[in-house]
Amino acid sequence: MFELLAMICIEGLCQERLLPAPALQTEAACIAGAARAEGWVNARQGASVQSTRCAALEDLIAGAATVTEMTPGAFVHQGLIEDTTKRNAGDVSNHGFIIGETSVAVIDAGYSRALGEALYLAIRAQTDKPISHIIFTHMHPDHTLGGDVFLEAGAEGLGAPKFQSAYDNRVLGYIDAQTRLIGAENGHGTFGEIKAREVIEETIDLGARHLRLMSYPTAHTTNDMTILDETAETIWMGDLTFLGHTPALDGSITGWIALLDSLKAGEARRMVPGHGPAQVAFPSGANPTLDYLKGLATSIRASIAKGESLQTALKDTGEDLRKDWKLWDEFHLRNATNAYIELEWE
Amino acid sequence: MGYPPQGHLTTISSTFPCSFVTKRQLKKGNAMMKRLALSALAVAALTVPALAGGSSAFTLPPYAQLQNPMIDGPTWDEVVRSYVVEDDVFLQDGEDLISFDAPITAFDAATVPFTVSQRAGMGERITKMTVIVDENPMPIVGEFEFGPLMGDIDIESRVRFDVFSNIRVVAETETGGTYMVGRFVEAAGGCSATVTRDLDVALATMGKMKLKDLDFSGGATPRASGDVRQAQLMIRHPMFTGMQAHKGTLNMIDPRFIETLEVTMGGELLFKMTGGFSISEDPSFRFSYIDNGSQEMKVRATDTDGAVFEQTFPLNPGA
Repeated sequence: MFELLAMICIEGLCQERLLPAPALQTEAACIAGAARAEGWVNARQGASVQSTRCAALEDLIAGAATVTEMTPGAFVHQGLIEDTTKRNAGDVSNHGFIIGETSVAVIDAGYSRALGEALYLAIRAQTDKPISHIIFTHMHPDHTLGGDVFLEAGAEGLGAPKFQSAYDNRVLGYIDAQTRLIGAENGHGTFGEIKAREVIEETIDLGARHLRLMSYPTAHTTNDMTILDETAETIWMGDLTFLGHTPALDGSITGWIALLDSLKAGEARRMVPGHGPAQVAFPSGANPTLDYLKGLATSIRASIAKGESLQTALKDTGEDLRKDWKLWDEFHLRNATNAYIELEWE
Repeated sequence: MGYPPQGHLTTISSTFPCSFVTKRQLKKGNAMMKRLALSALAVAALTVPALAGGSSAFTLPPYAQLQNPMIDGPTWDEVVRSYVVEDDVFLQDGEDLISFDAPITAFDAATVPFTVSQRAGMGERITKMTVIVDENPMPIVGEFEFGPLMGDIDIESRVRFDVFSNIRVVAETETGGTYMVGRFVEAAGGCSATVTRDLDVALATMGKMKLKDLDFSGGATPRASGDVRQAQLMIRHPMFTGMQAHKGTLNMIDPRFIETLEVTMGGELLFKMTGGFSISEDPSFRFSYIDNGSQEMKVRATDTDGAVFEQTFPLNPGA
């Protein structure tokens, strides 16, 4: 099978991009379809195409994302627990895919076009089944910005009811920040053209493999979605659970605590966190996040009850919660600020 | 002002896993700043004779701890100053009279707390105060007019920072003195104010108010006229900046923010604010005031869409 590669130039920077097609292509079909590179750049302001070529899949596999098969047919790419930098090119979150008898579902897409392409190649290294779904666990850019690749490959985008508006309201800023953080060379080709159908609750069938999608009231964000892989008894939690990486609150601390408390009663035995190891036991794997959030809420509520201002509350909150969390300085006091401005209304 | 085009006000939530451009970018610089600040304190401690052998818990008086003094820049001198005071007004250094607290680094550029506290013994009443964030697209955060019941001013609120900037306060006293204090705050980094987390919720709760009486004696302490008390006023309002673009349509969400706010107690003015969208979403004002024995505090706010939010809060009569 063959893939179309196009040398795309954006603001003077030219890189070869993989432009997937909805169906597998022979070399002849790939060459015949090469004109779609023109369509791709025409739809994207500032992009132009210099040349195209068709490459055999086996020659591209070296660029595939590293994935681990955690349960049969379920593959996870484990991101680094690091700040997002040019050095790591934004590879800081977990994402992966599940292969059924008839099709493949992708869960989250990485922080850039390049990371999305790498995940696409990891899928093609395993199977040539069609990619039927790209599911977004929430709108944050480290989980979404590579998503275009899968939509171009024919997948249907799925997200929680508030996913699309939350994403649309932020994506211009996301892309701007991406350029600053990982550099234009690593963010090349990221346009964030994501469309996802609203899903409240739905089971999708990949062929003898059922995925149960659930959305929730505001928790980590306004648009969290979990995916229960029934066959594997594994729940993909997105950023509802962090391990190693300090949790990041961008929704509601009370909502998040309540949701984790209720999810823990679920049937899954394993989970894939949004940040941390590729897979851990469930529900115990949710405890560090839950303990942190509960401790933070307790500490902030105590400050508010004492009449401490936000500024005072931030000065000494939560050192006892620090434990081994990485990236603590980057996230904890921001979380405390968000918790305070939520809890002061109680 | 170097203000970036559309979309930037959306970017406070623009990193991953959440929204921490600011801290990420600043990490290195911060570490250095903190070391410098700490070493400055250490040097200061060593050079104060009374401290020889003193405990490490010693802290210098607030005005000696200027860890983040303002950084001179053209925005204030060439542009903003003339909107705040007449050109011929001499701005006196207010550090000895006003304690001004704003963080060296903001943990959340959408919610940067600052406190203005008049030091005891200033000897005259502050009648007006203008708060300015130099580099914000709307630099004048708000103009506050204070009634006599505010006594020695002690007020805390929260502002948005679009980029690294000075935040300054110009205070005018009843005898015509004009004083300035300020700090430099590291916040933003291209990411600017905030995108409302949940528009539906923001619109549904707009105008809801809460007044916290920060008397924690539970009413056990009898109120008395002349007592200095503290309260926190909170108002639900998204404070839309008008710079939030929606990718789907590229439509901008129209600006809409609280423009005037008046707080009175038994008909007497506590404070009146005329402000802009640099005030954080869900504005909060924590302030001290002199009890005049009245049974109620009244709040009236208007926003740029002409909405009026009014509420009267009964005050705990005390035991």
